[in-house]
Amino acid sequence: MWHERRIILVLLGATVVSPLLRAAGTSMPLKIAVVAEYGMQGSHAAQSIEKGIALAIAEINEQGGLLRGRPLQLVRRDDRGLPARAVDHMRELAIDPAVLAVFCGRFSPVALELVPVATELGILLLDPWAAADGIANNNQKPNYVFRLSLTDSWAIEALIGHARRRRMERLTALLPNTGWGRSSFAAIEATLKAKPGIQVDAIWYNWGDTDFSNALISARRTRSDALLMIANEAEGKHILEQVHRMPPAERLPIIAHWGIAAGNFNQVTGGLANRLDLVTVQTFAFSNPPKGRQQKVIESAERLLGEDVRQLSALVGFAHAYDMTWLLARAIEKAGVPDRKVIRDAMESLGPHQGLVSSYRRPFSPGNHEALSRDHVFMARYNSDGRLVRIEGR
Amino acid sequence: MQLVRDFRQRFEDATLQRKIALVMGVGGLLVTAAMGIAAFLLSRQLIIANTQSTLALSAQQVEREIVLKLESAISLARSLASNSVTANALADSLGRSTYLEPLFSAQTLPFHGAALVLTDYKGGVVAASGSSISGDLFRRQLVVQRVLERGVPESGLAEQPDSGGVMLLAVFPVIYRLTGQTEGAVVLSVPLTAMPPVTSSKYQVGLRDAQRMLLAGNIGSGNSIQSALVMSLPDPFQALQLNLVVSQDRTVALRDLDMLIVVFLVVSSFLLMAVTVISRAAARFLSLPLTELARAVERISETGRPGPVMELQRQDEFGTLARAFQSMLNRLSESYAVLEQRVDERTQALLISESKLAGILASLLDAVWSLSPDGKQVTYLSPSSAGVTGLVPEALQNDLGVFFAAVHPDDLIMVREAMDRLVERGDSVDLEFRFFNPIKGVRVLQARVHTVYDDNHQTVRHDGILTDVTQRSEAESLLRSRELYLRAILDNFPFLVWLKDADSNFLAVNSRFAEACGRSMANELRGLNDFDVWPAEPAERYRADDRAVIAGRVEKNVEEPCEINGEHRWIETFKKPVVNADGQVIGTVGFARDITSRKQMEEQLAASEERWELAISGANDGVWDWNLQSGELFLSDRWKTMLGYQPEEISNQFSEWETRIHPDDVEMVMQEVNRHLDGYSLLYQAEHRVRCKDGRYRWILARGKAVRDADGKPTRFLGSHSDIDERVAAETRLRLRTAQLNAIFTLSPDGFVAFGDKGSIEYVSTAFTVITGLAAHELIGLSEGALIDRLGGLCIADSRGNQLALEALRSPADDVQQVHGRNLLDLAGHASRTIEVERRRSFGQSVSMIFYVRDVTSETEVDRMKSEFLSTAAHELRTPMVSILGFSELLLNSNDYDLETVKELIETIHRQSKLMAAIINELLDLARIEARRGQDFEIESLDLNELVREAVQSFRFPEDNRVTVVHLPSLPAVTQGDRRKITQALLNVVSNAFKYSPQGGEISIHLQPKARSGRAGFSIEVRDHGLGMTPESVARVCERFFRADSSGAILGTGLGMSIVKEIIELHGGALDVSSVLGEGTLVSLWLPESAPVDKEKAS
Repeated sequence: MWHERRIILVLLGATVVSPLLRAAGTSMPLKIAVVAEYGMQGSHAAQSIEKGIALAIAEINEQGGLLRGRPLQLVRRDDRGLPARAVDHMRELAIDPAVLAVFCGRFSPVALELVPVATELGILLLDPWAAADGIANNNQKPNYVFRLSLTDSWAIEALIGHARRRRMERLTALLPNTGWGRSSFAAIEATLKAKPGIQVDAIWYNWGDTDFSNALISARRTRSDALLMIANEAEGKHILEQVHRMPPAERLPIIAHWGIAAGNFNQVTGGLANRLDLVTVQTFAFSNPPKGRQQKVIESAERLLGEDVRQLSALVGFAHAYDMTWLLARAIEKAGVPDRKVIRDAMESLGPHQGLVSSYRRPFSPGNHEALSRDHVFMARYNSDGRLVRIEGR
Repeated sequence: MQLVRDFRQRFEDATLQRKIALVMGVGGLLVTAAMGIAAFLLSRQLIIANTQSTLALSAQQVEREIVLKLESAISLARSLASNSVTANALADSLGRSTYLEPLFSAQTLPFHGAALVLTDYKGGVVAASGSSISGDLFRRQLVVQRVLERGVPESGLAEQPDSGGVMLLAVFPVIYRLTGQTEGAVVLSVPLTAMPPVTSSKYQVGLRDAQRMLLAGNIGSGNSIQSALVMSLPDPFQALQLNLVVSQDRTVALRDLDMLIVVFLVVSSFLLMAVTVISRAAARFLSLPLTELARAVERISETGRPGPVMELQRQDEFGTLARAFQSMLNRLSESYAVLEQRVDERTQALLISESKLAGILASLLDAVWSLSPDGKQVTYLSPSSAGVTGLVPEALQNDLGVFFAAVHPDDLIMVREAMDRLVERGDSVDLEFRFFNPIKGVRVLQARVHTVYDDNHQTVRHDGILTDVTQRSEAESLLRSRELYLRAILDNFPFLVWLKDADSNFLAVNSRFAEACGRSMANELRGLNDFDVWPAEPAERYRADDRAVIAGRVEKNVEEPCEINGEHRWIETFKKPVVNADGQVIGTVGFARDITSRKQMEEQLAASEERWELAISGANDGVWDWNLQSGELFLSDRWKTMLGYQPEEISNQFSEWETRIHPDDVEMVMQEVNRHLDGYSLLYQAEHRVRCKDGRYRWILARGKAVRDADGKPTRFLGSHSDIDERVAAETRLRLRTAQLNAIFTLSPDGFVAFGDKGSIEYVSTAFTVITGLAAHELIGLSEGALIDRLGGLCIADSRGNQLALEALRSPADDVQQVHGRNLLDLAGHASRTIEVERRRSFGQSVSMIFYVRDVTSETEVDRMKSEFLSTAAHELRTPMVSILGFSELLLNSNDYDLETVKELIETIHRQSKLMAAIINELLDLARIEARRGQDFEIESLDLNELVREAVQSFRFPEDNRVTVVHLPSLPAVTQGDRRKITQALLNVVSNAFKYSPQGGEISIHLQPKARSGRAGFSIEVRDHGLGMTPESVARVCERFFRADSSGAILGTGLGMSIVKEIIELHGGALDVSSVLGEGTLVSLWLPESAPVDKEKAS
């Protein structure tokens, strides 16, 4: 509300400034697009991503823009979480040569659908959230997709690693019958194949399901030690409520993929996320007190957006998008021309960069389009304020 | 014209009947034709109207069918649109074909060619139920776009892409759950051509739009009947206006009418035929009476007799004419009939009376006959005469001689005379005679004849009846003989029997009765009454009895004493009313008998029962009597009081007995009872306990015997209960006493043999068999002498003592007080024993003499040891004493010894004296210890550690190469004991160890905790490596004056170990010695921890 208004003001500011710049003899603005699921109930991922991009853009523009003073401009499209809309938006955006890159949102099915389109259109697809392995690690030649986020493989590895550390032997996995669920299941199988010792029983559900009692009964029957929950907020909320309804002695610990972390999940679940034994994976959290780069970003956001980004609920989206935007800016500068193909190549050969999430030695290479690695993954737990707090890892 | 004229001519020539028929036939034909035409026109109108309404109905049906199918298709589409799978598929495009396609292709729609399609947010086909639909088919459809835009279901018509037909579209939005936005649509497309159902052969169905444009189906040509309606389609199709037209070809509709015409023609032709037939019948009906009248007149004129003419019940002129004619004829007929009837009546009456008479005569058994006045001729003979006489009536009628020939010759004269009298004098005849009936044999006939006279008293004839009275005369003679029998029975009856009428007059009595009342003949009493034959007092009573019997119609049975011929007798009288068939009492019958002897028996029985009663009440035994048939149980008062009850407290029921038996005895008692009742025992006898009122059980001896009927089946079971509680108690006491005595005898270490009053052995105690080794069964029944012989056989044969003792036993010794001294017998065998045998005579009833034997082996052994000890001690003391005596004598008797020699002698004397003193001291010690049994011990708590240490320190060890090692435990070893005595014991052992290991070797003293027989304690082990001992020596080491060294090289008294043993054992400890010859000895002194020295001994 208030924050959004601020963003809009900034954007308006940018659009107002650009004609002035043009009038001053400078070139047209360079555009970065976001195609994400705005207006999704309980999800702030799109907004958070946009905020990260916006902060980076504001910082870059404050420094005088790119390619000799060309300002950056943010273009936003709502795909409503639908691949079809996202594809159409991407095709439409690609027509404008000033649009150099497109950020996707949190949904893997959408991102997966965009991958071949990006190749076809020759436009950069930057993934600050969606975790399906096949998004960045695709078979496209050339590969226009770059990711600064975790992958399902790493997430699952971390989740199962956590279970191992807690000496759990049997887990019941709740998997959505979607591309994300299938990607996660493949990761589970791969992880267990590499290192057996835990048995995982898969229970598949459909998006929109509200009754998970069968899964819980099955978990109890198989004497599972925990639930491995691959779910978004909507289903996650029901699962937590149903777990909570069981007698305290029978409530299983929940080890969750981060699909639940795109909104204020603790608030959505009425505090259950904090009260139940729930852990999830994260790649970023502000340390307390924030230091170094974190402190600078907080200050910069305070100054440019007038906002305390520590209060953001889908913080990883912000952090990933912020770093990714800066990496893109570095690549644009390195390319020297607003050409998508050249910029793509530049992305693969970027040098070291001190980012918010990490300090990247060589963010991408021709063989690796993942800026982060499995080492960035850590386990987190909701505190009573509904913020995710790191508990172990890295 | 000619034809008309001909027709007219023929009509006029025709009969009346024909004319009528013709006119009616033509009329019917005309009417039928008119009706046919009218019906055809009406039917045509009706069919058209009916077809139209049928079509309207069909239209409604078709509409309903279409609507139903549409509704089901719509609900399918709706459910798909709202299915989360559908929405998810839109959000998760990759891999959705795997589940979406099966989902959509699984949907079956009720219309051929209809399809369900899922479109994306732009209308692009994502999945479809039919393969024909693909691509951007719906992108251009306005209705699809509207739905995607507004999110509200809509419908519309669209052109079919391939065929160019029109299809119905229903579009439902697919709303994405997470955003609430419309992200796709489910489109239901139905080709209109598929909507009308398969066209029936009767009608066609078509669909038209609002502009009457035909969209689908067929509505036929202009020459057809139609029905149209505006379809009301389900949501979301309401907005569409579709007209449904159902039509039928007119020719098809009217095909039924053609059929109707054919049917009408057939029916009307039948109708015409019917009219013709009816008109003919009518014509005949009209002309018939006239014809009939004509015929009737003809008939009457022919026969001349009036007769029934015809029956015309008509009211028309023909009817009137016919009735007038008929009444005339009737009159004539009636007068004829009256005449004929009279003649008939007369004839009938005659016939009836004739037949009656014949019937009477035929039914008579008697023969009826008439004779001519002269009696020579039979004028009439009834048919029954043949049965009576057995003669042919014709033969009899012709010749009366045949009749007389059959009369029994003895009766013939009588018959002849009677016949003569009849004819001559007119006397009536009534006689019986025998007659030979050729069929039935000789019969008795009764003939009754009387003469019939006319008005002038002239004989007309003789009428008679001949009756066969054979049966009657036989019956009479039978009755007479039966009366004789009855009389014989009555007279021979042993009772007095009489029969009286209602007024108590005798009708008949038997001769006994007559005898009893002093008459010679029974007949004399007929008509008399009781007052005539009995004295007044009993007669009055009998009369009263009679009245009571008659009035009450009851039997009366009286037993009364009676004085008969001066004797006192008992008479029992029965009286019964005699009732006739009408139920009236017509008299009494009675009989009386002498029951004096029975009465006497009863009296005797009563007397014996009284005695029985007396026995029951008088005896101390309770009596019971169980009636096995009724189940009743009689229990005498004593039976009840025996158990502490008052007589009325126990009822006479079987359970009273059964429930009181002690539970442990019930089975045995019941077994005994059944055994007896089943005949296996002569007498029932059982001892068992019965519960008293106070709950205590009393011992009862039950005895009983069953009374059996002729078949041996028990009917009663009676017996007595004797109280044997005291006896049983006494028996129990006796048994206990016996058991105690047995135990005493069995456990007594002395053996007993008891002789019975017959002088043979009756009891041998266990100890006796143990001591002597003789088995009890070998001894039982032996005499005294035999027992002594047996004992003698066990003894060492050549022992003088045994011989003397046996002789002493054999000598008769009647005096109990006589003291024989001790009869000791040394028994042979590997474990030699000495027994003392004693004999006591008894003057008891059952025991005449008792032998008892005592094992005195140990007693004699002690004696032996004592004397052995004395001799050993004396010997031991004598040895030094001999030296002392010898050397002192030398010194006293000789003075020539130099000082050196004297000193040497005195030293020897001194040494020997010291040895003797040591022996005496140790003997004294031993004697004191033994005598005091530890009573002078000064018991205190001792730490053996300290004691051993001190003892070893105080011990003067020889200064040689032998090493003494002392092991002490780290913890204090506390025991209770006399410090001085234990030290003495230890030092004795240690000094022995030194003495008996002259070759050297280590000597160790080892104190350690050690449990013995489960008791905690300490052992002090002293081990040497000296001479050692043989096992035999080890066994004797504690004997007094025993010395392992027989050479005398080692000094010692031979009492040391005895003292050690005494001391240790008096402390409750134990001494163990183990040794191997040539290797060394281990002596272990074991003392209990805090030795619990008996206070008695310690104080």
